[in-house]
Amino acid sequence: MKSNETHRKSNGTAEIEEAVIQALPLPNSSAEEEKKKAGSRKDDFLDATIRFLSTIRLGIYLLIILVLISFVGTIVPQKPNTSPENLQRMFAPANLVLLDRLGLLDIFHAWWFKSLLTLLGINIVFASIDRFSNAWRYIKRPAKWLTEAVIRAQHQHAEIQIHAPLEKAETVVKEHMRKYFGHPEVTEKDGRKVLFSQRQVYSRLAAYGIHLSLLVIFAGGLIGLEFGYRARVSLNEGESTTKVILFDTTRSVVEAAGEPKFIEREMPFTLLFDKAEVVFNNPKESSLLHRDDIQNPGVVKNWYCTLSIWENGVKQSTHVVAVNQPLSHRGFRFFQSGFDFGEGLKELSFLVRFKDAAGHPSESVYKVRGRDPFVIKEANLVATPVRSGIMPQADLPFAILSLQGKDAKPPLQLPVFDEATTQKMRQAASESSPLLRPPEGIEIFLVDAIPEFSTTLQVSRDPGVTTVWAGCLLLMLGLTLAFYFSHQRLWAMLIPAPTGTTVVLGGDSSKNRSAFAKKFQHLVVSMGPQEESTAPSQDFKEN
Amino acid sequence: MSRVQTEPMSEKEATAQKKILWPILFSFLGMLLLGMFVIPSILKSGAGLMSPGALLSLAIIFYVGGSALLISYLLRRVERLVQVAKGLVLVAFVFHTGAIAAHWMVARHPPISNIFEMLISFAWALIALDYIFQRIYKLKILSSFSVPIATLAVLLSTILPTDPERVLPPALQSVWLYIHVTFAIFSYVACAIAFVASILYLIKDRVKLETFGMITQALTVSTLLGIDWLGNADTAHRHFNILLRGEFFLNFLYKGRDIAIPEMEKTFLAAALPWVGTAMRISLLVATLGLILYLVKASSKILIRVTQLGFLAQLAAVAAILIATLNTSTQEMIDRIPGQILSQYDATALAKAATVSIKSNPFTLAGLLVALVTTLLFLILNSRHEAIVASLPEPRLLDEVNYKVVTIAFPLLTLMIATGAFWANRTWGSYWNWDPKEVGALITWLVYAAYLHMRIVRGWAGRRAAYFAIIGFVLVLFTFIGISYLLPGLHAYA
Repeated sequence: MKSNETHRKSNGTAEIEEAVIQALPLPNSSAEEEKKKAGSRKDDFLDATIRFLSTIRLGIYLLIILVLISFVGTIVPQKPNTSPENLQRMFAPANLVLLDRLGLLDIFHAWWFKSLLTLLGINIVFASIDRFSNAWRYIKRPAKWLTEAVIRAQHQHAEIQIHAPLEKAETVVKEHMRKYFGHPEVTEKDGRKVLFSQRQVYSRLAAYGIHLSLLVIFAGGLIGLEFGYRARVSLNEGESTTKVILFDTTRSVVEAAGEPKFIEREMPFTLLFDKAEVVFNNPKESSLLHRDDIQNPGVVKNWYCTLSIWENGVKQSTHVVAVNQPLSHRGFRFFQSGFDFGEGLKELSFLVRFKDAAGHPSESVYKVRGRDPFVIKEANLVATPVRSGIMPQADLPFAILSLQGKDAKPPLQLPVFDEATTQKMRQAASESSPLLRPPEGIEIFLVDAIPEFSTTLQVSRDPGVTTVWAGCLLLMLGLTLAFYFSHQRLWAMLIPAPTGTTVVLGGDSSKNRSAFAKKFQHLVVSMGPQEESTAPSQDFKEN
Repeated sequence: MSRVQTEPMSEKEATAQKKILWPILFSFLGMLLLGMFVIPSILKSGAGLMSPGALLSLAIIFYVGGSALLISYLLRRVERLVQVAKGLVLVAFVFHTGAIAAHWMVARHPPISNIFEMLISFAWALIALDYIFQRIYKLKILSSFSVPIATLAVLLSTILPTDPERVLPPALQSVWLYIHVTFAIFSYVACAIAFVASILYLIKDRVKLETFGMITQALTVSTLLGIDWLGNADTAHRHFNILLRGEFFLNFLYKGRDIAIPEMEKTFLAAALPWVGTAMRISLLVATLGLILYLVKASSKILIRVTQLGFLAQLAAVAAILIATLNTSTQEMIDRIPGQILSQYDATALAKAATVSIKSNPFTLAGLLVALVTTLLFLILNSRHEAIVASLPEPRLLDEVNYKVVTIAFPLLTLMIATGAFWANRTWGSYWNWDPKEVGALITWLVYAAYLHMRIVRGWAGRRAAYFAIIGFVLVLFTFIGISYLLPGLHAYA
């Protein structure tokens, strides 16, 4: 930096010298760093630290360290992705305690991992600042004038003779340069003219765009960590809530006391679970559902939950949430994550078989919602499903019907199952424990039942997400600029000669030199007779 | 004058024909044998010739023939070999395309939603990109590596469960799946091509044969140890059974969900196969011996003998696995499970739900095959080193291909990660979950980022860049296949 300033102060030749520095390939960066190192011994500690932080070597070492740590993180099961039970099965308790203490069970949230990422971010910032001025100079102060020797030292160079005076030659060269590299700028000095044109100079900034984009992504991640959270909410059909329960990331993997902690957060609105529906890939013939079926993603096409948002007692909106179809409201997003049977059955169908006094059989089906009472006309009974649900172990729907006759007798509490189960139970029932039977002449079975459902929604609040996507877009833009665009520069020095004008051409490209060489050769050939054209150097190394 | 000119020509032609006669005969014989094995089984299955499975089997026949010819092109540099191979690969590619189209039609989604589908799409894209690169760089030798890799991928896909009628779980029913996976496939293919170019560069740059030998041995040792550690647990949850006890445990393959065994326990419910453990133990010991001999720089004669011995041992191990899985009935396997473990399960239900098949441990077989093919390629390289080096294109062209392809692979990797994150955010509400596959992709990305920094800032080209690209591709394989089987997370289904 300092040396640049001294150059700027001494006018005239400094400009040219700087241009030469710019036009020549950058000095070997390791040599540059060596020089810096040597200088740093004299400088104070802060300066040395900043220099260390801006070396690319530090960045590479950090990348390697991050790779190695991440590798450990994929091999060792991590707490957020593995249940404590599985962890306990995988490791002996002593090892588990040790791994946990070392932070190896939650590497990616450990303080030292975050510190490494921060250090990488700082390294990117310092390294970019250190190098940015160099790149910016290409844009701010392009080297429009080069000495003849420097033009001839370019990666691609050629000399041609034009049998015309300088002014006329200038128009010819200008025309050709414009066609291949864009409109040239002319600098005149000591009777000689240098025409300079360049393309895609902004690709010089690509690397900074890429590194800036990584910082933007980091920033988005930090915003999410600081102001966002992940939580869940469980609701039965018909229930509403204003609270969500935060994911417990501190849960211990070792002790039995590792019970999840419930930390609640208040939402600025009420969430009501109106109703649920499960749609199967192959529609079910009967509604007698099995818990396994409704939870099996291979069988279920999707789970649909109708949810509504209420604020101050006013309904704001209604949404249907399904997998891949979240609900979004005021920065809160709700995702379908678990689906299960709730407490009761919401729709019941009873088959009633009746035999009248004369022995004539009749049959009818009663479809009932929830706990609504209904009248069995044949037997003059009022039936109320006082309880209904799914027996947990047997995965069996049941209802308890309270049957009240016309007489003043106390109602009969009758457990009702489907027909096959009832028969089985009656066979198994013994004298000592008789099964409750319905009144004489009537049989009641459950033929259809739609359970109430419960849903578990993942709640995510992440104000940093947009920033992350912006960073990703910038990253792609930067990568495209970096890999598919190159800064191409061309100088043409017009020197008056006895027979007309000598044109010394020189040029280089920041990347993809082989393509540039072809273009350069085309230009030279199209311009006319050439005295000496050097083949492109054998060095295909990309820089 | 004309006589003088034609005579040596015809002589040259005659030697050329003699040189290519055996490879062509050999590969056609191989195809015929494969056909005799494959076609009756297609007819027997009754699925018809236009079914995805049948078309893929036909493609395999021609790919194997084409690969054999392209590998023999390394030994006998006669252009006619490549022409014949090109024809075979073209036929295979047509069948392959048909298989993908048929699979797509049956499954009613693009064939990129699980490892099987991804492998066949990967192989397809590799062949297609190989063709494009042939057009640009005229590097015939590239095909000698990329076509066998594609063949290996298609072969491996056949040992994976394939169910085109499987309905996608709701979480996968998103257009982002296809966007995400398409980027993944193309970036992986680009990484594979950079890998091949790097290997060729190292050969051309006259990296010592001993180094290649050492890498081959190290790969074999680490693959076998990897299998032994992660894929060979016995019922007592003990690992390293090949090394310590000379036993290889095969898991069962479960049909449907008739049996309620937790996933965790399925991986430990296994039985030892006869002979396989011994064969693998011998391969491991020979490869370790080879590695040590390479490290202490033993004489090259001994080294080659040990490598050849190792190759035979690996061949025996693969044969032993195939024979043992075909010859062992489910009941025999169940009988080999220790009583106190078996008593925890319903043995009759287990016998009904479980089958013995190599498909239950695809990762193991894939690892063995990769080690086997690598050893074979090394032995071929060893026997014709000078001829192969002489026929390779200039190193700087190979180096340029390496860099060019990485500049394609890296943005694609970035897009793959970004679209995956976008999709995860839409489906699960967070764009990054540190799930093993995500971390694997991140590691790969970081390694290629380091490669690009070293290349652009430090001017690392040539050998060092080649080693970098090789490491990158190994990581790609680890992320693509390894993690799905060994460390399932959110990506468990793919």
